[in-house]
Amino acid sequence: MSWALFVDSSNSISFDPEWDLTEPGEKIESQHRAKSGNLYRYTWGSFDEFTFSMKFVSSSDAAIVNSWWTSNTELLFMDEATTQVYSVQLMNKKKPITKRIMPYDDQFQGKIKLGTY
Amino acid sequence: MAYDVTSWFVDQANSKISSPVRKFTIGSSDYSDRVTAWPMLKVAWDQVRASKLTLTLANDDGVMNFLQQDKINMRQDCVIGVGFTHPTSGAETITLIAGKVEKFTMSKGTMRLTLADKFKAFNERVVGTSDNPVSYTGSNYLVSDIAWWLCTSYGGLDSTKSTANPDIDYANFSDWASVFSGDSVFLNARFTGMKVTEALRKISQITRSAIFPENDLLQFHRFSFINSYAKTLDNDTIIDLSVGVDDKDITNRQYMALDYDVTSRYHKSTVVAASSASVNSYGVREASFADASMWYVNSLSAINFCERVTTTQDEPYSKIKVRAPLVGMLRQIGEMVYVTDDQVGISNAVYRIMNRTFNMNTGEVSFGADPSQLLNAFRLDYSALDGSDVLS
Repeated sequence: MSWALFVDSSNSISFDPEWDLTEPGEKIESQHRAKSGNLYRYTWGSFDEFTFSMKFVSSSDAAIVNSWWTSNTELLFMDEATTQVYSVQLMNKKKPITKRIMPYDDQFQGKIKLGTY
Repeated sequence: MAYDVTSWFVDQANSKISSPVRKFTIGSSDYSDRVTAWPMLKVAWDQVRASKLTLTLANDDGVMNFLQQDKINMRQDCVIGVGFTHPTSGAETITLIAGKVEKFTMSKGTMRLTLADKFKAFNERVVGTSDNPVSYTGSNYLVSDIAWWLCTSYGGLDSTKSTANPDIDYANFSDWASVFSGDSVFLNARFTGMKVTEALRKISQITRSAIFPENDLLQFHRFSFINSYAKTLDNDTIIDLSVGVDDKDITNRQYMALDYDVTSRYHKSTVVAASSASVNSYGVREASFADASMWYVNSLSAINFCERVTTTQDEPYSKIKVRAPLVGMLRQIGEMVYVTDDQVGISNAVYRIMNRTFNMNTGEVSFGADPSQLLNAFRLDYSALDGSDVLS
């Protein structure tokens, strides 16, 4: 399954995420429990999240992803087998792709965390 | 004045599962998606003051910088509202506050912004000065006339005497004024530089009236009988309830100083009203009201005030605090709540909402309610003819 992370057609990377890809998502919600036990739930909003590992990322793709992270670039993310496109930003607290894969000095790995905005 | 919403909106407010929407606009631009912390709205029946709400907005991308770069943008109309999105007709919201930006701070990609409604002007304007006082002493003035002049001539509100008035709920004001014209309640007043807010607060105190902003209009009420706008709250809708009774709420002998001599600086007379039944039960509980800026001109007017106090406060009363979900979002000051809570021994008891808080972050509504401004409370019960039930 190939996915694409991109700004536009000339500024994108295509990759195969590892099988640890998850799409947890989150609701912004308030809950109130009345004295009788009645539950009132108010959903104010929601957003999607994607987390996955990337391995054997070329140094140029790693540099692109890391620069998007540095500049909080607004990105698009999609499974290339579908038409669903998500507007996302890189939510990693630290630079995402920095670890070299032994014995290569130009292949990298890292963990990506995306969140819709 | 109740909120003007559709029955669909009411259904959504009562629903146990809903997706409310919150709106924040500056001018014609919607910045709702930038708000990271919504405000808490507080209104109380006897607090004549501007509503101020503070929001926190995301400004990492600097979109909100236009307020800092050109300060005149602070004068744009802002609205904070809450409601629901109808599947076909779109969002339906009620306005919680309409006003202008009073102040803001920007730091580390966030912005804290405070809005103040149009009644902020009451805190910025004075009535008279010590060397050139504003005097209403040449005649007997209806309290409602003095209130109108304070709001319009000194507070800067619109003076249109119709329901088209954009600042004052004129229907309410007319009802309120008719109470005093009907009872021939007359005042004199002399203002030497107090803020409009303070002058209106004194009117609230001397007439035992509720004056507060709501629905973007200044509301005037002198609560008496049960309001037809009512909501029943029970264990299915109450998150938490507390009830308190305070013996010191009793006033069974009320004095009122009147006919103030502005030259010699003393009140020429005092009237008193007492509830002998309450005195016999609870002992003497006295209170006195004397003011040099506003005073009744005759004993008939003054006794009206005293009797109202000794009628409504002749015995201690239960004050409740109720927390409820959005079920209570449409209730306003002065409206009634019928409360049942078996644990504290309250069964369908009627209270008037005296203050309320709406937490926009969680959708929780809190009421402070009591029967202190409720005269001759009754509830009409009914039964089908030949029914076997017993009316209470």
